Amino acid sequence: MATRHRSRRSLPAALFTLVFLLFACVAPQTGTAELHRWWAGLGPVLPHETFPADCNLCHLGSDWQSLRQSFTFDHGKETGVALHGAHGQARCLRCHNDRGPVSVFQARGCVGCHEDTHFGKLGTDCSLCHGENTWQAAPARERHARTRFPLTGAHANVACHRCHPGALAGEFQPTDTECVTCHQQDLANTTNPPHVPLGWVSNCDRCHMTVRWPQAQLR
Amino acid sequence: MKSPHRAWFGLCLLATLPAQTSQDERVELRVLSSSGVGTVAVDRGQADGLAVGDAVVLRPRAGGEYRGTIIRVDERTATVELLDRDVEPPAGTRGEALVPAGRRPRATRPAAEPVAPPPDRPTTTPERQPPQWQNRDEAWSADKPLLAQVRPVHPRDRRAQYGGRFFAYADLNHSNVEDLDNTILRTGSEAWLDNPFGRGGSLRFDGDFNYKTETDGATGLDLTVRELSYHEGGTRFEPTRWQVGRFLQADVPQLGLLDGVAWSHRRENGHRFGASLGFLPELDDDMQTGEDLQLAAFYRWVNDESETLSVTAAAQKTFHRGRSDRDLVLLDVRRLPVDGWDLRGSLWIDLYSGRDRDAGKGPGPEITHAFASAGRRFAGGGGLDLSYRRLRFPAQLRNAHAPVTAAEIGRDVYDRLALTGWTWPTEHQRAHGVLSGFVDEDTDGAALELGLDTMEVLLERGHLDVTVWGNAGRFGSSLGGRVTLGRTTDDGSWDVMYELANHHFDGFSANRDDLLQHRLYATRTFELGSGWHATAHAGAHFWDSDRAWSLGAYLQRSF
Repeated sequence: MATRHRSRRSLPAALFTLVFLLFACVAPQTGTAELHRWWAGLGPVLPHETFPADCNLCHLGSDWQSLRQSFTFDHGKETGVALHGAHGQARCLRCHNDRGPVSVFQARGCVGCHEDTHFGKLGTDCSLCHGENTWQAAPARERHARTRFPLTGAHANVACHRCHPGALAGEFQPTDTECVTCHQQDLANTTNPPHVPLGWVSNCDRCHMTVRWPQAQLR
Repeated sequence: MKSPHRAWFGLCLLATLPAQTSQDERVELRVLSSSGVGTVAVDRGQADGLAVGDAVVLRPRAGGEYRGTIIRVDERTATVELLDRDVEPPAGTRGEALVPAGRRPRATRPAAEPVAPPPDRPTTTPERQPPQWQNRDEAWSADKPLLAQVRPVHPRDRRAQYGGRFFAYADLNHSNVEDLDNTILRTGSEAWLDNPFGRGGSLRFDGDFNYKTETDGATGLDLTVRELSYHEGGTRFEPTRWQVGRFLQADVPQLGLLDGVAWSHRRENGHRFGASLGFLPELDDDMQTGEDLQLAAFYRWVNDESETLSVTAAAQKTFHRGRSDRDLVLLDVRRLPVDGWDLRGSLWIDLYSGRDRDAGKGPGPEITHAFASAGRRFAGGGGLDLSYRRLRFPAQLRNAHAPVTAAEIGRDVYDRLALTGWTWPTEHQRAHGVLSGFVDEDTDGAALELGLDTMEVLLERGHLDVTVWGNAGRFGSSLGGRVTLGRTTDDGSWDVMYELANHHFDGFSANRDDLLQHRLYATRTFELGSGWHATAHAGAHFWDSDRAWSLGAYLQRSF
């Protein structure tokens, strides 16, 4: 009777022990890396193969995530890819992170890391307008000379968003070059002579230059 | 020497060593273990270029040299037979093997690494190539020495990080012509918090307050939020990605900003697919939302895990205030510049049903936006870009192109072809040019710009750019030139530009059809340290008896 009683109590204990052992065998180990599911053949996030064997030159403590205050890394010298402007101040993990090998993203150009806030409509060469110190595009009205509408007169001193309404949101959709596209209100306000009653509602360039409204003359 | 035959071989080996030195490469190695019978195991092998018969020199800490030859090679280790079989170098003894040049595995770039140098800088020395990665993370386990291989660090093992920038920006424009003053003041922030929950996610914000005074006297204060979102996944640990909030649809940016949710999944072969649901905010100052519902889905095919070639197809359906609106199909092809060629093509195809709102637009498909470019980078730092663009305004209920009239939506079409090139004729001179032509609904024209930027001229760390340009445009033709003098300083840089152009207007009398226009522009940047950056610019503009000026400043603090 006593033996049977011990058996009843030992069965749950044995099952618990078995389950625990199974769990201990299959549960992921804290701190152990999971396998790369993809891009594994292209290497780790931060290749260390060429680094010195003395870990203490860079690492501090035991978690391998803390770097010494004196840590410096000449990216250009060590990797052949020099970092300019703000890129030289960026933290390593901003580029070398979980997304995959940085070389894959570098090959895509700026949009490999930076979102294409122009919705893919302005090409891939961001350096035409942007520098590497800040993301602020430098004013460059002279570049309009390459378009069908070089900026003349008053046009050369107007904020971009006046003609490209989505500019502040990154949308630089070209605007129709017909004058009334932007100057509809000016047309409506003109009384000497009254353009609208006379039917002069388009082809403003027949009388006006793209410099200022008063410079109208007959051909 | 216990064998005359072996002694003779050893003498021959010694005799050949000096000759090999000039042609061979030295592979540093260490002794792993010593057999005690004249052979040692070393920590280099076939993967390092070693082969049977290679000469090895060991240099024990006590001094002297032991010479030998490799008699067996494994992938990562090798066995060396020493000439003097009586010596027993301890484990850790340093040495080197002499490997014939050309046999040792050369470091090669990953397939996606561009071989071209940055387009605007000359290449004076051969570019270093990163070593070929041979370890695979699958082989790593916790019981291995730490430096044997590098393992990826899982987000749960990393701390959260934050960063971003604050900025303030002012741009004042004044003209004496009809009081065409306009002003914009902006202050905002772009900030991110990575891995806040140990799951590799990211919380992001990008927005600003902007105050404007317009040429028509209108003023306005707006809050522009371009991003406020949280996303997880899309990493090497988690192939499924989701994002919620206001964000740019990362996988297919052509689909635009979204207030909603997006989901995507990366397959084992690198292909990716996903879908999104939400509202499209208006792309204006306050970016109001709630009127344009969109559903979108995409599939991206890639050639392999390096993704050097990708083809993306996407479809987007929108509803404006509940009414069916835009049916858009997107196609995008990208070939990364793995061998100097960079190819890109995108098509926006609107599908029209021929209903009332599509007047003049269908029924049927229409390419409303096309962009294609082919770029080539050369080893000397030069390059060529050929690009083509087609634009038509899509017919849609959504208020996306405010200044455009219905008639213009129906008839406008704009095609532009441009060839951009640059080269470095000397180490300090960069020649650049752009040739372009356009055809639109009314006319056609072309533009040419040629310039030479000379470094280290007039000023130490300075540059002088001289550019001439001509343009046959919509309302006339122009001819001009500009000179830019700039210099890099210890705390930033400055540039001063002067441009003189003559604009000829078609169809006016000879005494009034030319406009001479002067433009002066100066900018100064300051790198102030501790993450501070400042830029100031000033411009002046003169034509006829009129003048205009502009002032601006930009201040940024990165954190």
